[in-house]
Amino acid sequence: MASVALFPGLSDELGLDIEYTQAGNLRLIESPEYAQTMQTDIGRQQDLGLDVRWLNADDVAAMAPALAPAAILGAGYCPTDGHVNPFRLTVGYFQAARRAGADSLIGREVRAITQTDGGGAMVQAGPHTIRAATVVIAAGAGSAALCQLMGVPLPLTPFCHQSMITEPLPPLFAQMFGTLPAGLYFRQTTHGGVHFGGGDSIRRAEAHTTPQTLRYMTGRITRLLPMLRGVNVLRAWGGVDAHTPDGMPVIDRLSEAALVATGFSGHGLALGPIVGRYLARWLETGRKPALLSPFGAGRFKAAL
Amino acid sequence: MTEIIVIGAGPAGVAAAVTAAEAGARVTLIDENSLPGGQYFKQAALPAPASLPPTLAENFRQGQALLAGLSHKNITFRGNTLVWNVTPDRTVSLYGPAGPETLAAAQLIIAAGAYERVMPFPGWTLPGVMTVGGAQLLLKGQRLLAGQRILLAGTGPLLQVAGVQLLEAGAEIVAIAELQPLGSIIARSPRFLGHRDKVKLALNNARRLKRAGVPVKFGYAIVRATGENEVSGAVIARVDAAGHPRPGPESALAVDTVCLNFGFAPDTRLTQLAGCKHHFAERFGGWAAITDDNMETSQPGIFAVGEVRGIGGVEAALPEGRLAGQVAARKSGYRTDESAGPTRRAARRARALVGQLNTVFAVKPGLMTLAQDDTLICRCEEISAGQLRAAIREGITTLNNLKPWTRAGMGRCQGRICGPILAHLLAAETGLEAQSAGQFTVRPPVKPVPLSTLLPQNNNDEVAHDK
Ligand SMILES: Cc1cc2nc3c(=O)[nH]c(=O)nc-3n(C[C@H](O)[C@H](O)[C@H](O)COP(=O)(O)OP(=O)(O)OC[C@H]3O[C@@H](n4cnc5c(N)ncnc54)[C@H](O)[C@@H]3O)c2cc1C
Ligand SMILES: Cc1cc2nc3c(=O)[nH]c(=O)nc-3n(C[C@H](O)[C@H](O)[C@H](O)COP(=O)(O)OP(=O)(O)OC[C@H]3O[C@@H](n4cnc5c(N)ncnc54)[C@H](O)[C@@H]3O)c2cc1C
Repeated sequence: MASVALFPGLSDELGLDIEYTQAGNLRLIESPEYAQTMQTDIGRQQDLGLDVRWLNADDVAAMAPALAPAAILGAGYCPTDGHVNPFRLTVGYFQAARRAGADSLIGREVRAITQTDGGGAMVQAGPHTIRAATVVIAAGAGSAALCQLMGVPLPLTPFCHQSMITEPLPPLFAQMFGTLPAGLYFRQTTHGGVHFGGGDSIRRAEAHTTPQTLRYMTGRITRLLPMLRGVNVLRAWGGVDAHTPDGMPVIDRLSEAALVATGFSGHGLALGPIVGRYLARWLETGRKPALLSPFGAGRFKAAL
Repeated sequence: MTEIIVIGAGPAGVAAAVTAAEAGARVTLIDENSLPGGQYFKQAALPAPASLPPTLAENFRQGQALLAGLSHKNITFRGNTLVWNVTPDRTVSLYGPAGPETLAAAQLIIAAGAYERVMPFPGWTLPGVMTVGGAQLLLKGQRLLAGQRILLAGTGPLLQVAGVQLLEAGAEIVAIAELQPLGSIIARSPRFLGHRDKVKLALNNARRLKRAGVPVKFGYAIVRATGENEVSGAVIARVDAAGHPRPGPESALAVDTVCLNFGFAPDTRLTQLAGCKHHFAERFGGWAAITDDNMETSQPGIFAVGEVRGIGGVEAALPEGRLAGQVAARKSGYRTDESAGPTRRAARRARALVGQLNTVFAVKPGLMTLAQDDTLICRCEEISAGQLRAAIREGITTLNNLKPWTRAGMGRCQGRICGPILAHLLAAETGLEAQSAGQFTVRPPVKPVPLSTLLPQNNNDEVAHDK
């Protein structure tokens, strides 16, 4: 929720349009057996104070007429959710960091991190050696190896997620869509392409697509949006994220000179901005913000 | 499981298919064009027209001799069929008249050819500015002239070859602007002494252009194309050894067509998708698939032949295709009696020559200064040189980083056209070698296909995921 509150102001804060569209999120129900599950979910989330409600088939049709009405029984609707352009979000933060005085080294792999005598850290990136009081490991699927280097093994597993994008289309809908059971999500980008993903994420460190997963995703989205059958797909791709056993990130101190923030388990885009903000506060004050306390590495002691 | 699948029915792919079929193997040969022949024998599958200019007639004869082999009963040719994805386990995804289809190959031969390189300058996106290959295609395919008053610009022997063809067909060649100074070509000409026939051919072309009064300007580059809605003029200027335009007079030419060719780049999209290893060198035309002596790539059972291995011309493509056809047939359990030695030698000899040509006629980094900040580089997404330079100033050094940063290479062509240009731009701005920019990661589909192409083909696709 804290994260959601952050997004609307980000384009201004970063000085770059991150193409944030806040038009709500619909989790679509396609078979009756899941309608009850969804109702229960909604009840639970409402108890937590979240603005979610049930939409019946007619409500969904009114809200998103592009969807095939026959395929949908209803949806769980959260009006505050949105979607962004992940590239612009990342570039925006990068540029803002540079403006704020951060140095950068792109295209260099960190192969060694050592603790220095004075209590700081020394990072080896290609031919460069960088000394710092604190190093933050936020290397996605590359974090496991770096934490290992620091002598702190974490139960992180690489998972490959896949998605596709179509050629640009006239505006169809502004909302973000998901399904229950999970397996498909989609949105229309500012550029006009319908971006969709899902399938099962595959446990592997290589970021490439698998024909079977692409077919699965295509089968699912064309049931909900039959008009897409004749639309060209421009690109399919895979990306690897670090997953934890409980699907929650690890944000903790590894040593005197190192913090870690990783294991976003497929949700790092939504969580990245807020986590970054609290990490910065932690670095500034030297005190771990309470909000981050559930994400300690200690919770995995038994798993190792 | 198909015994052997050959992707690409150019000289390399056809030679591979025929050789393997004659050894007894069953071959499926696939091309996105309706007819086999590839770049060089584009129209040879059709009956030769009654009257053809002499250079085209010779091309037809050679092509027909090669394509005759495709009538072998073991060969299935599937035209109009795009291979839009290949995986390391040799699964090939097709989009063609038979609908979407996925084939598995025991042996896979990739002979996908090359594409032409161009360099940007103000006005290069005007209608009427095209590639030399595009103009040749009109000529060979539809007997059409791309224009009446043509400037050919770029670098390499193809400019003069095409100049003669267009001249024979009745066009006026206003000028040929060859990037390399004549002196540097002559200084390096001893490298071609062993290839007397080729040198003779080149001199012959030069003589014919001279007789027709075509000015061939060595050490010149096109610096600008002008016109309202289509090209009506072009400006050429002398360039220095690094490719920077020299101060001094420019020549403005009245033209209705500009044909560009700055050499070729191997089309490695399929070998990249298949996970094959690649290497970079100017003499290959850039990034090319690595193979062993048997044309097998780093992925077992996947072969690469012809231009995909590096720009080598027809005379490398044919023996390499035969070699791969033989080896793939043998791996499928068929005996072949042809000895590989002479075939290998022929391929090496042809490659040695073209490799030299590729280095003599290399693109020069200084040409990148021609692109003004408002000159488009990525045409699909309309990204300008200025936007790209700004990103590079922020520390971007690779194509793969430039893509999400700027959207360059994200459009319909997936960076096929702008990729080599962006590598030059990165090199020019950062001072790094062009190869350090890397290659764009290739994403399926290699060309846009309707989503219906990816629909589940059987129940397996469902079961695996509905959990
Ligand atoms: C197809 C797909 C769809 C997704 N959809 C969503 C979504 O809808 N919502 C959502 O919230 N999340 C989504 N995600 C997940 C999200 O992208 C990730 O959770 C998020 O990117 C994780 O952020 P991160 O900063 O931890 O790691 P990353 O984004 O992976 O960044 C890590 C960086 O560290 C670099 N690195 C790694 N090792 C080293 C090293 N040794 N030296 C130097 N650099 C190194 C990497 O190159 C990389 O740039 C999706 C992911 C994919 C692939
Ligand atoms: C414009 C031009 C002019 C040339 N002039 C000369 C010359 O004068 N002298 C000379 O020696 N050489 C010349 N060449 C080079 C010569 O054409 C090649 O060396 C020769 O054609 C051998 O190439 P190949 O078989 O490797 O590929 P190509 O002939 O290019 O054949 C590749 C085939 O693969 C098919 N293909 C590619 N990708 C896919 C896919 N995904 N799905 C389905 N099909 C696919 C293409 O449609 C094409 O038919 C020229 C090339 C070009 C482009």
